[in-house]
Amino acid sequence: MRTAIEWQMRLRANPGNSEVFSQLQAWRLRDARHELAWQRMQQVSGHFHNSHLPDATRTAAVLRQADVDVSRRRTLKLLGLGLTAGSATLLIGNAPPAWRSDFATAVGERRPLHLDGDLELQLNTDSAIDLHGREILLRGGELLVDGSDWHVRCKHGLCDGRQARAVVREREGYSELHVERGEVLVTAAAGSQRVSAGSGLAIYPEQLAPLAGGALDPFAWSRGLLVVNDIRLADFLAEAARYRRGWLRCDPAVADLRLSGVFRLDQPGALLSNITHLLPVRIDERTRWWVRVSAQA
Amino acid sequence: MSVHETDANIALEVLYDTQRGWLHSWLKRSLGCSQQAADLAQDTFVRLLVRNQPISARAPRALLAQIARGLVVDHWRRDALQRAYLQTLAQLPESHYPSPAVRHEAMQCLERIAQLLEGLKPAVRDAFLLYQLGGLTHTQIAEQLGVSSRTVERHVAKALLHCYRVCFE
Repeated sequence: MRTAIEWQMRLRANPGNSEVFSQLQAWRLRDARHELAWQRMQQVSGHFHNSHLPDATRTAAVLRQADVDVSRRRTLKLLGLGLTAGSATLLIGNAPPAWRSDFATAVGERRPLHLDGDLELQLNTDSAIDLHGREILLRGGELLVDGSDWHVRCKHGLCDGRQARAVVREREGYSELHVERGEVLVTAAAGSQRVSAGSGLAIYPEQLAPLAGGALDPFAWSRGLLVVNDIRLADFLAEAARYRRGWLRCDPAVADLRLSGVFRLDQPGALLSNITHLLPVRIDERTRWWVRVSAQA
Repeated sequence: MSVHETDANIALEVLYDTQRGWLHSWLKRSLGCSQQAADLAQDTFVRLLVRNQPISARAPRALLAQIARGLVVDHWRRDALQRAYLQTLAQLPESHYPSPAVRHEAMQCLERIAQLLEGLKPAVRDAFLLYQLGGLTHTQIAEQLGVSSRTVERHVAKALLHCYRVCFE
């Protein structure tokens, strides 16, 4: 990242110099992390590009005056309340919880990533990874990984794939692995185990538990779909809730209703309204953030 | 976002119903204005909603107060920036006075910049603003500020690193 800063400054010092420019291009292409640092540098600069601002000298004066003002107020008013807080505002609006990660997705977003030749990744909604050399650290959410030789470290273990395509997901209290193609070796505190294509494994801190074919297709999201088979409504809503912001709850009276179907993830609104055609429920949407599903009157 | 809750956590809607009054009077004491206090109380709950994490039932007021404090400081900063900005505009001839839409956008941009640069020394900040906003070269900035070109380079690199960390670390 310091190198990205040096490049930014070199580029500025040599405007229109095509040699510097092509050297920079080569550096960016060499590694996904170089490109990431460069992109972030551009984002930082973007905060300052606005034609409506006063000129640089005036802006500097405005900031200085405001500083003086705020610190005076802090001293005067906050002493009594013992306030020492800094700012509460997130700079990046609607950022995912793990926005400090190398690669992260917002709620409702899915993102494919190509790394080091043959490694294909896809991040599901509200997910984050860090890259440490050859190892991918899953910091939260869900990751699809496909390639000849990969290593994903999740909260409760390490997954090593050879010619394998698999999904790793962080759940509350455990990590979940499903293998679609190839074989994955799981190493965890509770032991190690090979997981073959078509199988799944729950990695708990104290045990490894095989996962039977559940009510949810673990790979469907990578094709933009939510595919469920005889799933409890409460579980379906918990799953749907991952793709939208706000609260989504259901009355206990309808929690055990079952449904099956194929839903599109890029239409979270329709995803909800569709279930009123399938089940005797109604959707009470008080605000965009607050949705309750209950029995039809 | 979860459909289930554990006993140790408190539902946001319960927190909203039981603590909104307390938070409002707490904010009113530091702001001295009931309307602003109501707005910031609302903002505090929106922050919790967007944060989307379980809220421990043990010390919910401490959490509310922590978020609200940050919002109060933000509110003051916005206020101070607005005043300083309007003072600057007052020096312009009337024909150059920007429209409300432009003023609004400029204010938002100023807030973001103020936040990004918070904690940097004024000298570093001035050099960086000339670099970013003024589009000047190191040499030009050095001349304008009466320091060496090498110092300007250090300042700019330092500010870039600072902004990067604020945004991404």
